[in-house]
Amino acid sequence: MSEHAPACYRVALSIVRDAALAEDVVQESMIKAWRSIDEFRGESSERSWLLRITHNTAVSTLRRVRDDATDPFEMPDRATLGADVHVEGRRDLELLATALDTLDELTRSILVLRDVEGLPYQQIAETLGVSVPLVKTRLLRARRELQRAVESGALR
Amino acid sequence: MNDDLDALSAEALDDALAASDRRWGADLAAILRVPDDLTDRCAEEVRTALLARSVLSTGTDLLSVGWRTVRLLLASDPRPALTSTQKGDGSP
Repeated sequence: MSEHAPACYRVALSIVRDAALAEDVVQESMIKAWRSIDEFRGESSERSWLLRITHNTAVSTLRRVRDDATDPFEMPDRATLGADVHVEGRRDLELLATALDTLDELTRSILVLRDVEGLPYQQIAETLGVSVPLVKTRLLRARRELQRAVESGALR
Repeated sequence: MNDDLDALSAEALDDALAASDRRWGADLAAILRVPDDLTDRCAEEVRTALLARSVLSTGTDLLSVGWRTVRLLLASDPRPALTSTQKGDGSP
């Protein structure tokens, strides 16, 4: 199961936008998966099942962190990912990271699962519990947003 | 986000996706860089956590069995019931 950790980490990091927190999410998701392995009926692949648990865990973790943050300076903001992923020196990557942060959590997962992990649309839809048309629409919209953000940033 | 994407037909959506391709894949992977030792570290942490839970669960089970045994002993009459031969029921 741990061979899926990198894919889970990328999904988690795209959502929680903090490397340490993303690692916690992956570990928590793996533990949840092991503890509920009896409930895994093999209707989807083990990878999809684990990615679904990771996505849900990451979203709930992000909400919990936001709820717990009483100090506004402790709250994860939209610049966290860009600052945390060590893309200094790559202006285009910094712009992309900032643009990624403007997308909602579901769209980020769709983008990562398709454009980084290369999952088919059907599998993404099953993993995230949404329809295939919604996956496609969100993906196209996200790609256009990223394109727009990088181009407008590069022109400045 | 209000745009015209929701109004696209399935074919038009597929065409637009094919045209936009996966050009961000490598850059996104660079942004979401995975630590080299993540898989090993994760496997170790999960193994430790599951083992700790297993030990805790076994300990709880043992405590539970122990407590039920003590309750059973406390609830029962400390003196065993006398048998007819012990009662001295008049027989010589």
